[in-house]
Amino acid sequence: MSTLTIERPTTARTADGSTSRLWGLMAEFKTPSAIFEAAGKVRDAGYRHWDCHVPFPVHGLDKQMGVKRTIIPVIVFFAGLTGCSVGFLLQAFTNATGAEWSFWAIVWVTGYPFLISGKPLLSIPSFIPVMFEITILLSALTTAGVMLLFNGLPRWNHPLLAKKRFLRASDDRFFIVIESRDGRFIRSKTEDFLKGLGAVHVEAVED
Amino acid sequence: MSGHDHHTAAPKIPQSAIVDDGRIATFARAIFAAGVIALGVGLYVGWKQGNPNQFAKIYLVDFMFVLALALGALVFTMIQHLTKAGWSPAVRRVAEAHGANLRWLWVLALPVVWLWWNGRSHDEGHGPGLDLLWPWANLEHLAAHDPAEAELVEKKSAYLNPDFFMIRNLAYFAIWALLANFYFGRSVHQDSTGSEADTKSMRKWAGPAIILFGVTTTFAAFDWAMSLSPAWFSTMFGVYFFCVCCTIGFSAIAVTLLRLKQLGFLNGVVSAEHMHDLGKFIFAFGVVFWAYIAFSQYMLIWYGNIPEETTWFAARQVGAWAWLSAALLFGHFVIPFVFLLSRWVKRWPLLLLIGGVWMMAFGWLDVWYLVVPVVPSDIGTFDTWNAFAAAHADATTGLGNPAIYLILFGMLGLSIGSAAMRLSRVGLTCRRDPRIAESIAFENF
Amino acid sequence: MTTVSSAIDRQDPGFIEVDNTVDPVSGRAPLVLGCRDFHDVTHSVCRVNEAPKAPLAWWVAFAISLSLVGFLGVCVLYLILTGVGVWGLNNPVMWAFDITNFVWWVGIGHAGTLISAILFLFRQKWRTGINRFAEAMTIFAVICAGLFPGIHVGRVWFAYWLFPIPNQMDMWPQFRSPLLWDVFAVGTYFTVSLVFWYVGLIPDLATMRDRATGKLRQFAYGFFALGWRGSMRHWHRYEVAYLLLAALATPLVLSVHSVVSFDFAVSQLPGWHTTIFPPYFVAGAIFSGFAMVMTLAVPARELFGLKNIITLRHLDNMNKIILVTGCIVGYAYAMEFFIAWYSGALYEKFAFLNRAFGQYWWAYFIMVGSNVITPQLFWFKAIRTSIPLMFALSIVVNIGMWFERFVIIVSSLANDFLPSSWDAFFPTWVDIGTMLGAIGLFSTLFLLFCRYLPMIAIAEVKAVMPQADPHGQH
Repeated sequence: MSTLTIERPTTARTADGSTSRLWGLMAEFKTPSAIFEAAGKVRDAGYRHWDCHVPFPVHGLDKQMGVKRTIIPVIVFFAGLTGCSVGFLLQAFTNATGAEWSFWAIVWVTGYPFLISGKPLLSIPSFIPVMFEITILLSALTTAGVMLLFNGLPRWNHPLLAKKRFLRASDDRFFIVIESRDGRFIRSKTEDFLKGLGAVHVEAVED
Repeated sequence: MSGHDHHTAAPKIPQSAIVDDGRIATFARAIFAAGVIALGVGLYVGWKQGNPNQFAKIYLVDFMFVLALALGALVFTMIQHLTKAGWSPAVRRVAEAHGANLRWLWVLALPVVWLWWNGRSHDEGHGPGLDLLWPWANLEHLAAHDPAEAELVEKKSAYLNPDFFMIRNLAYFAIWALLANFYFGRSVHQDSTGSEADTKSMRKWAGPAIILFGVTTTFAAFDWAMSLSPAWFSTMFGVYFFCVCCTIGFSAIAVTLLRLKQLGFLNGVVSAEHMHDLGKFIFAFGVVFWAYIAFSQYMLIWYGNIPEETTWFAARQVGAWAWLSAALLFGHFVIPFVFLLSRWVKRWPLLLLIGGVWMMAFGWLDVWYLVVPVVPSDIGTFDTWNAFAAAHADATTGLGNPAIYLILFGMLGLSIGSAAMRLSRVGLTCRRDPRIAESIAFENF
Repeated sequence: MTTVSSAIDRQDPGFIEVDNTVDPVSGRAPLVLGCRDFHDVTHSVCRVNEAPKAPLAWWVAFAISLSLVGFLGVCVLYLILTGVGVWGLNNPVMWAFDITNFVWWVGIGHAGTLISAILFLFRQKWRTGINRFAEAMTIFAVICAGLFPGIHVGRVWFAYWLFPIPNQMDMWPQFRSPLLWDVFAVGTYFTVSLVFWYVGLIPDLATMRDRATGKLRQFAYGFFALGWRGSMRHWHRYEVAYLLLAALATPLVLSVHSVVSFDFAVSQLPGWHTTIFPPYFVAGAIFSGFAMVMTLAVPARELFGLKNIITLRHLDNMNKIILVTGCIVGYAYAMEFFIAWYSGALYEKFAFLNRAFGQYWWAYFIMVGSNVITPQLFWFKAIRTSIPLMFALSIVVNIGMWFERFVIIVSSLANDFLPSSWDAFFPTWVDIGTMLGAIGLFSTLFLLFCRYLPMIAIAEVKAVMPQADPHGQH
């Protein structure tokens, strides 16, 4: 396993005899500092469809790869604003108005102005806790949901997950993967390049 | 944090970054002198207005503002030692320097001693006593004016009486001066010796020091602000005043650092990372925690709707005070919340400077809101809130009085001047703190 | 191939006795002991779940817990079939064990969120050793908490009235009621804690998946790992999301116990209506929660061999937090007493004197003794670092905080404004059975968690090891 058949074309024969296309190349590193250094070189070489796979977030590696800061916080801010407004409107509508409302002409609802303990119908101080809770709820669900969505998860059938050596990406090894769809990907050259980065092992990944 | 975890090579800090080249000293003298003049003029203007009660309140608000600034800076320093923080040694000196003003701020409280002395003799024509500010100090007068309140206040006279009040104040100022002196003195001592013993003793005493601080500021808040309306009470009030101190003190630390950086100091010592963290401190304590405490106090009293508690807020919701309350809601919470929420704002020096000055301004307004309004004594004679509000629709906040700003500028000038003098004398950072290297290299995630 | 298998078969690292509670004035004490590399961490944590058989102690504890759950079922069924009269409630004491247990359990949950969110924002790296099971504790505690308001309404089949669902009566919940705020606060708290916990679990589930040998394990862990493959581009968004969740959970955790305190404080009952309640309840919640984390951590690290990761330093730090929050709670007790006197109000004064010297004086002294006085022992390092003493003190705090809620609720209700309507509360066997049953439910869930999910946040622990620094030694 430690050497690689470089002459292989972009299709390869797998264990069960079916053929599959080359998906990319995977290079294994032993330490965070090794992959950190290597990642800078891959970035400088101009690759675009590449990634690092690491067992824990290596501090500063995202910056080193040139990953742009995600816009998740902005989305969450608007989710929070929405939650806050929903919380207010829900309470104002149900407890402070007698208005009628229909959801898509299916569900008809009526507000119920309800006077209790001498409080005004629109008792903003007592609406604040629920407004706050809905704000947080919607923001948190959005945060988790958008993070998974942007990451393309769940995805249970990724080519990398079929590689035996890649099992250690969730334990103690660090991988750089360059995909074959990258414009600069030339199998032999990319492979030499990865080996030159100090990888302990380079291997093809099939689709 | 990176590979320097197990050794502390003394960091190479260029002298020019942390030693005054004369500009800070010049500024300190100028602002101190301007402060003395402004304070003198302000006191003269205030005195001439012929409304001693209003004058005394203006003085009290401005005094509590500079005091809160120093207390906020002191508690910042103590928290850093309690938590053995690694990020903050680079910025701690500025906090220590502001906090060290507590060594002499008692001087500005001397007029209270004079009031107390005057009030002791019950002869006619003895001049104003403590009751100029605190109605409980003269129960006879209070009884003539508002018998119902006097009856309630009389039950508290074991606590609210002039002599005990003075003894407590003596204790507050002595404790604060002691704490500020210890944390400033030890830190400066370390600059020359680099001794780890200094750090150890500052950490060791941080716990008891914060307990002392908590107890004294709580009761100081009760004595100076809460007892202005002697019938009113709130168990939250001490925590509220703690938030006031945090708002003003933390903002002042950030503003001072940003000014120093604008002048070209602290390069390579204090970075955007530190300012980002200070911005978070202002955001967390000055904006969010303040709002939490203020809302909880307001909502519970509003909801419970017990007359002896609601009057305090009623006085703050009539006439122009309603606008001031709304200004606090938006200026102390909503606007800075949205403004300081973003990461890039906290890391952008000019924007954070604006945020810091803004928060100090609203911190001051908050003190004004706590101290100045008076619960109208006719409040019990109205049938409805609307009738009460209509009768007092002309209540004014009195914010147009130039004496306020002259005295404020005067006291701030003295405070900032002496803090700057101190920084000029001892340097701008804790250069030999054991964690200074870690602090300089610090990065947020 | 050989390197892969040999690495996995490597021997466990032994427990290494290093005193990491000594604080270097500069530099940092190590947080992970005995683990030479990242694989050691993975292995120390995963072997607990991968062991073919659970330790005997686990089975014993599980059997006891499960029978308590059975008893809980009996009590709840009896309650539902008969009515809330099976509890010792009377008029005026209409809340007693039910709400005491509710507040106690919600409070316990707070430490998990504090560790996972607030300590994260404060960059306390030691949190990584304890955050996973503290968060699990939060979720299980909130489940137990949710049980009580659910059943104390009596007719549980009308519980849906608590939610704003359009219904045939055109009626809505009353949003000015703090009991409804509770529904939203506790509901949000449960949901957000679960999301936070699950997001944290994803990378570790992937580790479990990658080490799994059997088909079932592979499928189960693999399914919930969502196909996580440690992509740094994913980690980038993950870290931002984690930070955001922490920033959202922090005010949330403050709000939850504040809302719980509003249940009491918005009323006009002396002893309940006091403005310091919100922060005081939050501090008390964190206090009791940390005590419960300690009660769980001490046996768990012994039983599952996790002393390298949950080190003495972690326990020492937790004891310091117990001390700090205990002092804050003491401050709140003192403020209440002082202001009750200062208010000059007859009923306020009476309420507090009655707490200390009335019919429930013994509960009051248990409360002050366990929450304010005994935690002061933690000023001494020898006590903070003694395993048996810290375990005993943590149980004392748990008991003390239960009595705090009991004192607040029952003493104020039993002796209110009108002496002719005073009464006393005595628990029935159903009260006590439900309380014990909830403890059984909690420990059953917790034991299942210990057996099947990684108890330590593996990826997070690795990230705080000195080897994780990309600028460190090559």
